[in-house]
Amino acid sequence: MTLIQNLVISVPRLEIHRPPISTAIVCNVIKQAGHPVEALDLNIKFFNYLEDSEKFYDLDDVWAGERPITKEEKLSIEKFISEYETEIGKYDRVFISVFGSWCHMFTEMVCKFIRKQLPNIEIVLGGQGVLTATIGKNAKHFGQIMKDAGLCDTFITGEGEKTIVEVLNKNLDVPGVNNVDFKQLNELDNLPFPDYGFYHLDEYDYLNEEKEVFIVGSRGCVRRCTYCDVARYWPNFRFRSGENLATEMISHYEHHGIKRFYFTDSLINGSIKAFHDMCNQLAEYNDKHNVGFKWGGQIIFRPPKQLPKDHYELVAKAGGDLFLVGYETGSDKVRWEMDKKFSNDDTEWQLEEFSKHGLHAMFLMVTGYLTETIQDHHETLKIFKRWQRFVADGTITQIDLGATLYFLADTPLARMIDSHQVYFLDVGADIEDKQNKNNRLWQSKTNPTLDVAERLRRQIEIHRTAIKYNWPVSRGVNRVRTLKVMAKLYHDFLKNVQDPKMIEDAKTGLRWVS
Amino acid sequence: MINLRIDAVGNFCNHWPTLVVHHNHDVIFNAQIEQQQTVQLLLEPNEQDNHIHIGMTGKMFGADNIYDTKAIDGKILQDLSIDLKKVTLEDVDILDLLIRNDFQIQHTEGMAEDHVKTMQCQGEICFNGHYFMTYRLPLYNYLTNAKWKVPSKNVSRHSNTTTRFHYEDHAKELDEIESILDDIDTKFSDIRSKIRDS
Repeated sequence: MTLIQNLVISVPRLEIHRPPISTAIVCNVIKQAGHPVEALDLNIKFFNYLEDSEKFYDLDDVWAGERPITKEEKLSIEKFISEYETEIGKYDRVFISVFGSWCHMFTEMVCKFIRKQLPNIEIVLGGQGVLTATIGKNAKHFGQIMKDAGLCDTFITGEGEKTIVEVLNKNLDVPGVNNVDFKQLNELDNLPFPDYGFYHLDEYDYLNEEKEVFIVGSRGCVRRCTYCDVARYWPNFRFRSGENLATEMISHYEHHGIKRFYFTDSLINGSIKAFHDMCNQLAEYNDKHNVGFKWGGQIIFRPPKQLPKDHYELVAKAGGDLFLVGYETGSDKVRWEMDKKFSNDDTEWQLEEFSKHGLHAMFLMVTGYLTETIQDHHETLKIFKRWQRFVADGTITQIDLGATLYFLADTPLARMIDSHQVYFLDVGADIEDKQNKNNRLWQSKTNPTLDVAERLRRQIEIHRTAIKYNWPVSRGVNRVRTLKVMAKLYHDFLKNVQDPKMIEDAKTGLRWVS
Repeated sequence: MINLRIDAVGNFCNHWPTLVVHHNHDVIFNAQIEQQQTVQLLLEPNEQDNHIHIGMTGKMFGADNIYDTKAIDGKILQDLSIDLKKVTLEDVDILDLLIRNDFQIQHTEGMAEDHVKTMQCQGEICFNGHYFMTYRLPLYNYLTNAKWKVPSKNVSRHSNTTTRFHYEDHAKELDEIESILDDIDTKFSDIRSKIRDS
């Protein structure tokens, strides 16, 4: 019997600083199941193909749905994909990893190309981006849209480690294959490590000129922040033991000399015990072998009483470096309503600890929250002066101000649309997802002063205050460009609407003003 | 007023070394440092450039046949010196800024005539002379730029830390948005209310 030849493809837009972890795991799963497999990272190949990296980054606005793709860009991508016709044509089946909504357009272009030029190849889509959908009831997710359009044969939802094997064995009538009834895996310690042997590690654009890889410590999240859709993909929080994690990191160091890691976790410190155990083992190894580990990822700030004594000293000794923190707002009240469960005083204590032990923080912000009042907004403005010292001493290395709140599907916030009488201004189709309306311009009857104009005004005031106190604003120009698109859409909407009427869309249940 | 804090270690030879601190050319500290010591000073800054000098005075290099260095067979047993361990302005470390400038050596009787006048150092003070730096107000804005701002490079927007503290393009975009919002305020305030009431 001839074995089916499998190709696992990664598509833009992914990070270019580290090899992709999800497909490195998929390759190992297929290999361990006894099937032939190779990997093709079209993301890094596209980055290197363009030569001028600016063109690669310019497309971020397209992937994010902030502007339409130009004809020239489309032709360039189609030409790039066509150059892989011979290589892709060697395989019977391709697995395409759809990491998120930023991968949708490229995935669609690859699938259209394969369907047209290589119609005998079976296409399987997987990854979190398969489940991405717009808000409202009955909204279709990307996997279903692609299947309905005949652009894929199979889509996999949820974690792929077990489901991929079912697809390889042609068992398609199982949870998570062509349906969204996926079952979560409970035990992460027994899963295969990513196999980076499938990738050309020299192709990547490493930060700091040292090889760095992703690592997965947990899936899901211990929090249920109202705006976040992680629970849609991973309803339950599962984590690897600290010992298992440290063992993998030490193994990467001993086998490949890799000392830098970035955790993909929603929160590295979801399980304090596992995190602390990992740090203990890494700190001991670091001390004994003088390795110089450096790693980081997303964490949540916690009340000090929840943490072991000298916790951050141990984190520093273990190589902890840069941590992304969903701080979101200067208002304790709003942050509490977001279900974040930490205060400004907790934040300040954590910043003191970070400063003392040489750790670094990047703040992630969500402003213009559904319940935000003008007093809440003023609380946010205060942080820039209050914690300017931590910018000057290098503890706070970046802040991403975001582009004001918007609604993601299947989040606690999306389920609050009715109770907060949220309605949307009908400005036409979404730029990226033309099958759905643009839902960035929302307003709420229960917080009427926070209309679109006020939200934009507050965001600008926050941005200007950050500049006044010399905060390290990350992606600042792109963020304000997104705001400008919103402002123009809002302006044009107001200009054209004469007699505003609210209509409920029977299909989605959302209320639109036009 | 601004807090200047110096954590220093004095190394003995014949006597303890003398630490001298100038602020805007006035002596604000001049005393011996015995072993490990913390000096806390209050600075009164000007609106324009402010100058801090931190150094040592009184080390003898042979005048009157006195040497504040003791050596036997080429091995130094004692050497009058000061090690700056940490120097902060309003709790922000400035030792990195002080040592960016070469240490300025004050020629002292007994030293060779062609002795170097400056030296790159890491916080140690082995000669009479001083480290120096300048600062301006607002202090944290100044220190942030001095310590962390680098020329902007064109790399991925997700990981481009070189654009930090470069706000020129932000300001231009923010101005444009504000002019759109002004136009909305002027022309469409009625329709905004109608929508809220719809």
